Amino acid sequence: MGEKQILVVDDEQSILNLYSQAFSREGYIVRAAKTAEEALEIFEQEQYWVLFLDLNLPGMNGVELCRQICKEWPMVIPYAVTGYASVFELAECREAGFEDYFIKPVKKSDLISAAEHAFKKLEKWKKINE
Amino acid sequence: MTEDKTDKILKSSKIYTKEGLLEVIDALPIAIAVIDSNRAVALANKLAYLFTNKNQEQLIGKVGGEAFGCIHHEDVPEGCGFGPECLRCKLRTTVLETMEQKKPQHMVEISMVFENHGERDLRISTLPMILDGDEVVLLSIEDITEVKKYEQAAMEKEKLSVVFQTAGAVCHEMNQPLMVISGFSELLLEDLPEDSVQRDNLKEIKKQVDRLGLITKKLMTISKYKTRPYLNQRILNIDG
Repeated sequence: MGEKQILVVDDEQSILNLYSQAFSREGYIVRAAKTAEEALEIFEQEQYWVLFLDLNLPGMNGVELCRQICKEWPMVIPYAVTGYASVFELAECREAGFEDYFIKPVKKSDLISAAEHAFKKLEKWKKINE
Repeated sequence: MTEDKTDKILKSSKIYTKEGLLEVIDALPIAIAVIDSNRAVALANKLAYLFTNKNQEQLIGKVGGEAFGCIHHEDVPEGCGFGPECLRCKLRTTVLETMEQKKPQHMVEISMVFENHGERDLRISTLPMILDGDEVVLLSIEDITEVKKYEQAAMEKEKLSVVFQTAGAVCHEMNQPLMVISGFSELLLEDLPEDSVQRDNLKEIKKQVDRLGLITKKLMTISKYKTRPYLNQRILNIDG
């Protein structure tokens, strides 16, 4: 949990580029995936603690991806970033384990605040377990 | 009526007596009245009395509009059938056409304004027949105001569902590029010096993108189907 690594998943390369630049400037290490399947493969090799997931992904969607990751790695803090969400979808997000959700377009400051909040929480949990 | 004509009608129509017909129509679950050649009510079943909220004395022998309580029956001194609104009255024309053409009319939907019930949507059917030797028209009246309201509500619901789906699709497609433009504008703003001219230009771009973002957020929170005038047409009011 020491390194501030973030995994971002979105099927649009421009948005992945944006995440990479925005988080890197604040000192985070960013890994990007374009599909849920690719994200799961990355997770098998390396653990990430903070995730930003698009909900509308080709193949497995972001909600299902979150559900699978949270089941396997319950300490992970995932955020949903979506182009559109109805009340029912948002309820489903909460049930799937998302910490919070953002509707695009999201301000850089909101993304950074969410990441800071997540890493502070992880730090607190780490101290409790020490 | 000439004897030849009467014979022809008698041969092609079923013949009823008032007593026999009343027994049949009283058992039916809709309002039924028999209209004679003077357009007056000759017979009415129980539900017709209930529908008009009148007794036998107030209904039998009275001309259509007066009998049913149409708000226009006193528009002119001559009464029902002579006023300007009577020319547009679909109940009157349907009964007259049935009488003249000797052909039934099925499920004609009309709208009438009544003294007691206000505006009602009705579905009427007519049948030419012989009653005690006279040419008459059997008129059945079904009040479909509630059905119409339900249909209207269902249509509004359908419209709303289409609005939500369209709004969702538009928002999803637009928010992706908006996020990219807005995000990179923010990054560029961080890079540009405070006194840079480009900084002001970029701020303007960012401002307009944020404005678009607010529009898509409004679209996503639409909860009512409301329109507003736009030039010569109407468009969806996204401000609710």
